[in-house]
Amino acid sequence: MQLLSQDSERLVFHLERSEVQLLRQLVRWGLTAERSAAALSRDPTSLPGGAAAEFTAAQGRRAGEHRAFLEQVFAPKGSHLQAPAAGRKGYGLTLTRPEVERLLQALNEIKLAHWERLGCPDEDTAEIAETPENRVSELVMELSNQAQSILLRALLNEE
Amino acid sequence: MPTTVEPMTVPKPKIIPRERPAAAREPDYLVICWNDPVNLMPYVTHVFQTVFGWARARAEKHMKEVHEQGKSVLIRESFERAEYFVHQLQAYGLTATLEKDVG
Repeated sequence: MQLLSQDSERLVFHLERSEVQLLRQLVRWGLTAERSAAALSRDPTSLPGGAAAEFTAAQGRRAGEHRAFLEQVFAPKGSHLQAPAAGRKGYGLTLTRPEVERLLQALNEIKLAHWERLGCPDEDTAEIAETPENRVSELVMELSNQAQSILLRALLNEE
Repeated sequence: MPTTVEPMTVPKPKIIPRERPAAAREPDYLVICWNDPVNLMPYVTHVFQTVFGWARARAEKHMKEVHEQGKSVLIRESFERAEYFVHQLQAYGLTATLEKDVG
């Protein structure tokens, strides 16, 4: 995945066919797990009445939007993938800057969901059991990290 | 004498704005970002810049606080503003909460 050009409104990437297939697989795997709701405060008693419930409901809506965007962005008949630039094979991917932010968020959403599925491991965690499910979750986390890094470097003009 | 028919007027709906207590508008809630082993450090910096409009140096300072001290107090705001920012940060997947400032 390579940044080809950018302006104040959009970024244009080139992806090889194999990269698009990998990203589609990432999305298929990624959407097999869901995050648990995050708390608004570590002291819910300090919140005005109803605030926690409203916050949880908004989170659910947001998670659904992230998932829908992921399903759409690399879809074969979606509006983001195009024919590649002249002389190239593969695909062009055009994203507005807000869409790049949405993609960063959506990738993080599936990364966190699979981290939770693995039991929220950190550097002190003993080795994770080698099961096919766990291997998939580790792959989702690693591939999401790599895709996020590419997007961040593009946003920071470091490509 | 002919009579005119008065047009039917539909009464305007009475909109009752949802009111928060006055206390909710006081700037006494802290937005705190907590460390986690998942979010990339450049990502956290980017999120702080994007959500708060901070320069990179300030965003990196808070990112390093999160990473090295386990948390960083990002801003102090009213409940409503703090809730808005926590929502924004959590949309990016950061571990952020709002806490009453008891200091």
